[in-house]
Amino acid sequence: MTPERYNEVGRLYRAAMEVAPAQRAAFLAAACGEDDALRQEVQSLLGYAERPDDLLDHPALDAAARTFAKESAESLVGQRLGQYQILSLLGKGGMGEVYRARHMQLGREAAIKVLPAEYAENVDRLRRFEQEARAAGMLNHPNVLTIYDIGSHAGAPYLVAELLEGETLRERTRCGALTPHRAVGYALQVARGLAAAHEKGIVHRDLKPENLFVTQDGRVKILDFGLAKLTQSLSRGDADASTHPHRTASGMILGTIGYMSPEQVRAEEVDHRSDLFAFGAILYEMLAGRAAFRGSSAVETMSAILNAEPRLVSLICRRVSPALERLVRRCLGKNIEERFQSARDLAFALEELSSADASSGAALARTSEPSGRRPWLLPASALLIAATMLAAFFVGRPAEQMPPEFQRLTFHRGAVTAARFAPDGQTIIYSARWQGEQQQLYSTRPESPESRPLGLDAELLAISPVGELAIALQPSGFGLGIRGTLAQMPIAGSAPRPILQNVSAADWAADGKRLAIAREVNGRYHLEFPSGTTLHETAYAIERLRISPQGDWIAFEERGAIEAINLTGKRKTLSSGWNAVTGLAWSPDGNEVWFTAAKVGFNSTLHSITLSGRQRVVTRLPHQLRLFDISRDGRVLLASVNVRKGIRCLPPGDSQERDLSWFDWGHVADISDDGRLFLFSEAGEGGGAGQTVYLRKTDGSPPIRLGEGVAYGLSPKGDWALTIRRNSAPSGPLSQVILLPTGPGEAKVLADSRINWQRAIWFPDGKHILASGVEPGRRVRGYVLDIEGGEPRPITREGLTGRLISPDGQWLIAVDARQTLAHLSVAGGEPQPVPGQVAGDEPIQWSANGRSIYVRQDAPDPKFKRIYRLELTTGRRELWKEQLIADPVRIAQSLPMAMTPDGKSYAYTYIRGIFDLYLIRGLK
Amino acid sequence: MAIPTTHEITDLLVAWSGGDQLALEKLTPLVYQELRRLAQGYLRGERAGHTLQTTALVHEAYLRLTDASRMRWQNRAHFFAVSAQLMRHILVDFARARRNLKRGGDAQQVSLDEALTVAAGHSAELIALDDALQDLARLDERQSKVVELRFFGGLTEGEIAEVLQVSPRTVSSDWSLARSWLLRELSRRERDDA
Repeated sequence: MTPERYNEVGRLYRAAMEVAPAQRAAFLAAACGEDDALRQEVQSLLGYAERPDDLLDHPALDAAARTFAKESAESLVGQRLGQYQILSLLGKGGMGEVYRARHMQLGREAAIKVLPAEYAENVDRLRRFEQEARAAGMLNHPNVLTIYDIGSHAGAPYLVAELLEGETLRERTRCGALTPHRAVGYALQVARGLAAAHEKGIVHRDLKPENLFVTQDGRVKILDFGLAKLTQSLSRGDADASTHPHRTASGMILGTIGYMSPEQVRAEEVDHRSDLFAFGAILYEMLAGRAAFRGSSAVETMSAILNAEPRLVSLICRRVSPALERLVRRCLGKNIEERFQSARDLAFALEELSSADASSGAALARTSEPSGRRPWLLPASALLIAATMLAAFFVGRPAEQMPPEFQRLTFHRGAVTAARFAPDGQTIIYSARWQGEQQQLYSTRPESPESRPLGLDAELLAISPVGELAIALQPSGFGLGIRGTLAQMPIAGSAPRPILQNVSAADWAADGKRLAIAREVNGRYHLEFPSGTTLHETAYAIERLRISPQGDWIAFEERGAIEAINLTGKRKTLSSGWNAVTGLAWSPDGNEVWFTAAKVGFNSTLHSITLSGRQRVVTRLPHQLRLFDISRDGRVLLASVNVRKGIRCLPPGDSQERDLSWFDWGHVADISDDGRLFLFSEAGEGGGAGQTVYLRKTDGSPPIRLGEGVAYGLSPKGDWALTIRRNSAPSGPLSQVILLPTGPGEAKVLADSRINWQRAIWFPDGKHILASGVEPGRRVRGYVLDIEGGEPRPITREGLTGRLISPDGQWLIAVDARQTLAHLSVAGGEPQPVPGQVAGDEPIQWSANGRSIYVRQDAPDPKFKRIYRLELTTGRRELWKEQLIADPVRIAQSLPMAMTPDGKSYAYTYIRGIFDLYLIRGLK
Repeated sequence: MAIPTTHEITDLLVAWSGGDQLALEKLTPLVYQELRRLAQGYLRGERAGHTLQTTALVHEAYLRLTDASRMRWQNRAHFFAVSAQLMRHILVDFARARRNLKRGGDAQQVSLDEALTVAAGHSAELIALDDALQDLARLDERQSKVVELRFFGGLTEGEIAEVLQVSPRTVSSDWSLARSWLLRELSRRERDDA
């Protein structure tokens, strides 16, 4: 046919297509006239016009992909294959099916991989396959999958291999990075397996987490030597092997993107050192929790392999040692010569790394023996290509629970008070007070140890889905129970816009517009959603409020209980009776509220509870935890808090303070007038549930344990420690005022009446005590107790707590519920406000001459406290001393201090807090 | 991490359309990998029975390879034309390689994995189609281009019209005729072979 003729055919074809199908024949007969060949030509073409076609009607790429995907092989379950009975199908892959099977005589279970029957069409290749499989099976190495048998069934070749139970390394690392210890342990086993294969001339060529299998006892097996290729011909190798080019057909790249070596990407000649590159990429991923080379497409990934250096692992995981970092780098050399030259060298290097860690060395020795070489097992002229094992021989048991991975995000000394994920799910915004500086907002990302200050003195409350921050300006309180002015600002700068005062918690609704808030209004607390609409009002503080992902419930803390309220105001108490609830957040699916809380003490545990009240422990750590946030993909932000209270002391005649901390939670109670002895209690775990009273010399010699209770005062002669012992048992007195002898002798119980004692101080005569307590039905007031016995005698009106007694024993300084200082006579009479006082003044001592008192006050700079002398008659206030406080975390506002009347010696409690912000993956 | 891949691929495509065969060797594996990715999707059954989506899918795969929007081509049309040509070249090449494997007549070294993915499929038809398309080009160059752009390039009629500077209606009628002609050609050759 000529183009001209075709053109004519085409013209008629198009014209005929315009005509209804039924009239086409008539149309053509008329149009072609006598040229019957033309008519037939067009007619036959028209016959194809409406015919569907499997090939042409789909894009070629699609057709090609379908061809690739062609599946084969019918299920063989229940059938016999050689000596094996097929039990069940374990998995299906591009290269066949894997079954679980049992050897009928030996009873041994095995995995059988049946390859597609088409494969057997090529007799030559089938023979080669059998040789390859045998070679791999004969490696007989603990870190390489063992092949028991090879056969063929109904034309389909199959392999019988050991049945492994466990999971692939891919599955193993799905929750993120492994610890360096574990990663090195796995890597060493892989290196040993590779070394054994390489020494037999078998190169894997497609090493990746999917074909490294971790058995339940922690052994790593290399599977899938399917892409392995002959790299070492034997002297009498067949012609095919000696002459074939190393390049693969059509420049095809073998291997899996992401773990391919640069030379594989370039489709160049490949040897065992390509495996070492893949090994490096896998080790990197185990340590970093993400791929060494990763692009948004295959092409970008390949480009990264060729051109990009992955980020230093030690920047992602700080526990990675420089030596391990160097080893990973060496495996990932772009140039083949830069890498380890053999897997054996690599294994030695890893052994050295892990032997630095004796325990890991022992563990490895148990799980992986180096294999001896067994050349006699090799068939003389075999082509040394390893067997094909593609799919994971995965048995459907539930995977072993992965321990969660902790990544520390902050490294300064100080306190993190709030943290949230930004809408991108990666950036983390938090508020913290570092190294005693002012509170600030910071931004950080998991891959960087650095944080960027956002330049704002504020507490973070919440972040909206569109990146709007809700913050508390000028927050008072600290972390647990803050109050401040709610303000709103975008993450990316600009000035905060104040919205409401006295807010204790806030959270954004999913629309990014409405806020749920908790705030104090005239001494009561309101939960409002949206802001202005009160859903709940209570006398107790509402803290830590979070809206559920679905927006239907708001969870919050009130009085040690986890509460949830829906939008109609229906409230449920999910869990109650907690001593300290430190944080809460919804699980991503909105089914559970996770919270950190402790029933007793401070070492809170991460719990979760459903709306129907089903509660469980998520994780428990030997630290106080504060849950801040849970990301949409289940990563958890929490702080591990290690707070201790220590004691510092200025002994008489010294100019330097010394640290006289004893256990973990020391509370200074009193100091002797000469400054040589001080009394304290230990209120933490070291001190036990009831606390313990100690007396110690300020010269630093070891303290003397006086007994159980909370210390309040040392008698003027130093012979008794005034103590209150609280009774947590359901029966008996709530508390007792007890004198513990500092020398030999018996403790004296002074008062165990129905009064609940709160604090007590000595009168200067050493014979009487001023104790504050609560009688049933009354408010707190001061009582005088005689140490020789007798009924407590009330001497102040209700609402006042005595704090200091004048040197002549005639006057008191007391505080009321608002912590206002009052001056009153022991003999009775109206209390007078102390002139010149400032809110926050903490009375610590009466001056020796009786005319002034010393009060302590926060300094604007949180690293300091200031002590003022306040003249009682005139109200004259003078700064007497500025104290630099060691490790100021300032969690609590008032920390006890005791000072001698001459002001020359003192002892005080300080807080040492270590708050580390963690990102946790894999908590369930 | 900045990955300069799109530029790299652009450069390779330009080099190849300028006659650089080495560029083709570098491009081929990229197409191959993408094919594997698609094939894996089928294997997992994700796309089984979703014929309507396959065109979009292939388009996506295709764009991932080339990222037309970010390229600095003479124009979009030129890019599509070169890409379709590239796809034809590579796919037919694959088909030839697979046919050779099946016949066992070629000593090309292919791994076990590859050998096993060789299944009876469209390989032979694809090669026959390529041959027929060459014959069609001798009869009507434009019609063979339409087929190349549509079948190998996965382009829509609108896009083809843009590339060839003709109306979509012309593209539609060219396709209909060329398709009928090719189908008849293929069935004839099949009969002749048998």
